[in-house]
Amino acid sequence: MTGTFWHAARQHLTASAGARVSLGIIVALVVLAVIGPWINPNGLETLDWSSVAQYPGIAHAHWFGTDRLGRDLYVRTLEGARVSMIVGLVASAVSLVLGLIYGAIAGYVGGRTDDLMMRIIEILGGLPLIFFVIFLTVVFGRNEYLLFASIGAVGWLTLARIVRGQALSIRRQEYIEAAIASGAGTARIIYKHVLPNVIGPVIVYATLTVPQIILLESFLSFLGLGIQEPRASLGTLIAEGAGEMEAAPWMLLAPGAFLTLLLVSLNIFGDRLRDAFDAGAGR
Amino acid sequence: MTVRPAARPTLKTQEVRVDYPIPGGTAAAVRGVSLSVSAQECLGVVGESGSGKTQLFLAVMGLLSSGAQITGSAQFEGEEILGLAPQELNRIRGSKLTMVFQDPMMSLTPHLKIGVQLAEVLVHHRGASWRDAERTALQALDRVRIPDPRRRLQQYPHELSGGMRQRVMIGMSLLCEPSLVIADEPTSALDVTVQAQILDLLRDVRAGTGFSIVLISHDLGVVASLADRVAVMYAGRIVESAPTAELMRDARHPYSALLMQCVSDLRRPRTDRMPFLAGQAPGAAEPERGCAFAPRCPRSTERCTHERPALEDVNATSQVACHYPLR
Amino acid sequence: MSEPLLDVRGLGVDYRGFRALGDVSFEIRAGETLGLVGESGSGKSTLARALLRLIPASRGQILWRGSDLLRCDSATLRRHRRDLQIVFQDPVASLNPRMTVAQALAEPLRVFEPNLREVERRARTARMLERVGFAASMLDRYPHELSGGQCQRVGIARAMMLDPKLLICDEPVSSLDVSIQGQIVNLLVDLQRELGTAMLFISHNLAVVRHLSHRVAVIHEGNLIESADCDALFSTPVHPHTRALLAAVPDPIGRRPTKSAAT
Repeated sequence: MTGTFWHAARQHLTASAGARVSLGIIVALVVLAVIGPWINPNGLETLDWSSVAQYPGIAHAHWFGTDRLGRDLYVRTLEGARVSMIVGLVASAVSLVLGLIYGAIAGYVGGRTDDLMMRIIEILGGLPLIFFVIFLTVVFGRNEYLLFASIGAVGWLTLARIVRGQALSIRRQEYIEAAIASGAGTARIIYKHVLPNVIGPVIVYATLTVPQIILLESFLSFLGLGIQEPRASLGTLIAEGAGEMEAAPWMLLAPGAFLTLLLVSLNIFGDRLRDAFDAGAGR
Repeated sequence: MTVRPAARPTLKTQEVRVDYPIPGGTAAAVRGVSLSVSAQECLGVVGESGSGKTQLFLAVMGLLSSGAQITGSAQFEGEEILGLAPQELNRIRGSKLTMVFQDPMMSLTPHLKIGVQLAEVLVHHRGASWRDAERTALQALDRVRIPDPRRRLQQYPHELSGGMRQRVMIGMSLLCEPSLVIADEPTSALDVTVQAQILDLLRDVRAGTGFSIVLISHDLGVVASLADRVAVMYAGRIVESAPTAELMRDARHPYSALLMQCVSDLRRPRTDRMPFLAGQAPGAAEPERGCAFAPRCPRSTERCTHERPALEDVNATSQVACHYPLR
Repeated sequence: MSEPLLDVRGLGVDYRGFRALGDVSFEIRAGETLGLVGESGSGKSTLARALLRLIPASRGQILWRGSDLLRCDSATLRRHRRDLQIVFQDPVASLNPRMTVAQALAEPLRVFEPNLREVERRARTARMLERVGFAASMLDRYPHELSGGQCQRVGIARAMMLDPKLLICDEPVSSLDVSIQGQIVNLLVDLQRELGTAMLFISHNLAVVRHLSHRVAVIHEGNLIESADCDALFSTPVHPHTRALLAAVPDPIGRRPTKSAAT
């Protein structure tokens, strides 16, 4: 059902207003985060003593205002957005690859191997994340790579479960039996027959993990456990902004709005993608 | 000599079409079918995948999804039923016009006892009390020769064998003394020994009560053992219709004749090659250009490829849609 | 050739306390077709899968060219798989939906002859495709673009790629239209004539089994109840169940004698 599946799915997706709008917003935000800072004369770390904690305004070229140290918020917000997006993307990709391989093996091989692998997932899933991260911070000190590690430790779990479910249902298909009868070994079957056929639904869930990971990163950075000064992420900016909420609300507004818009759009798009896949599968 | 006026047919369809919208146009599952089923007659409808035989009768029963576009007319006992509102249709469906499906496991509700499902029909359509309904249900099971019916009433569908479930379905379809029972591949999911029993049952029950049956099947043997008349469908249209014996011995349409040849018969000696029809039937999405069978027909000519033959009467009982029928 | 190709002794499969296959014993000689008839639930598909160790067997021996397939190590089993192939009932489901016809046909080659050059592999794939009656344009198609009959021919081509000694056909025409079943059956007969492949042809369709079998065995509730030469079984069946099976097949041309008066 491949050709008609992708065809129907793509049709459904392009027809959906929600998908088009959310995708449009995502693309716009990405473009903004990448090119945006070039338009503005201010640098990331330039301290503009003449405009400390200023309202947003065109006049002094601080479009989103400045923070306590006189740094331009427009540039910092977009920089933070870039960092958050990169972390989200990279961590998602790592989770995807890890989850795919792990889940495919567990689901296809089954039996005791599957039991063992699922126990591991359940244990890792049961770990309280914050304590885990704090513990790592205490041991290794504050480190950005720690951020990646902790997110990575968590992100792949759900994906692995989903892939496993898919692999379990595929295992009984006749083309898998045909492959076994043709003498293919387990590795080959997983690589050539299982993985290509689980990718569909997995992509959808991967799309939905991106916003989750961005949020997680923001949260950890908000707590001070992630991205460090002078680099910014949306999380750190929101943390700063939250502290200045009464005096300088714009410090919270810019990163907050950006994050919200990004997450909502990603979620909507992911949802539409799932609908499109269901449509493609004829449901 | 008085000429008795023709009795009103139990079911009469006229140019029924079923179309589905698809990207780029429409797919025609049924391309214009006119047929009639008389009282007490058994009409066999034979066709392979894509012939539209099931879609046609699902349309008549009002069971197609809302995406289906149905045109034409279908009159049941004189009353137009295509396009009837569901409430109106439900008066007829399940009581006077019933259907038996291929897989009884799918059409029986798994979590309700057999007795309840049977009684429900009577309570709903006849307004009977539950007690009376159960008594009638018991009689129905007897009628379809289910042994130990009292125990069966208390069982769930999964506790019965496939053949037994199909008997229950047949019993259910007869509860309100229908005028027409549409049986869609009633024995395809059953083993050949059970199939024979079910066909015997249908034959016997009919001899007693005299309702009409439409027997839809891809299996000519099944159809031959029960039907008075047979209509052969191909690519959404009827290509031939004739009394059963006549069709089986001397089919007129090349497709019917070739289909007969392809049916392996245990009673005939082995042939060297098994006959078959090369190519495949056109899909619903393909537009009609001339006779749909022309590409695969050994008798087709230039005319066949751009002029579609209409279904015409050959005599009082037979019709064929072909420019060059076999006789 | 006195040694049978396949010698099955006392094969049984228990599944969750239920005896799917009792103690089944039979032989197949090189180049011959053994037809296996039985109704649904009789155990015939279980037998096919157990022979290839696609499902675990509970007892018995499968003697194939000297080794007991149930007891040999996985490397030996892999080697033997070359010669023991299967064609499935659902032709579309037996093809990986993400692989083209060319890729599907090349799979057995990649597994057993990984050092084959690309050119050689393509040539052999094309040759096999032609043999089952397809033009080279088929190579790039996906299963969903093909009809059931076409998919089945691809499945047969794939199974025959390595010239197996035994081809197990598990209801290969049951899900196809009557008008195209003959094409598949004729193809199998031709392949057997050409390559000398032995076949185990499993079906509930007695007429088709009769057409291409040399010998026929009847399976009922997990046991082989009768086995004989094809013509003998169909003309003079012995076991009452076999007789019931043969009598139950509806006769398309004449009417079967009925118990009640015909209308």
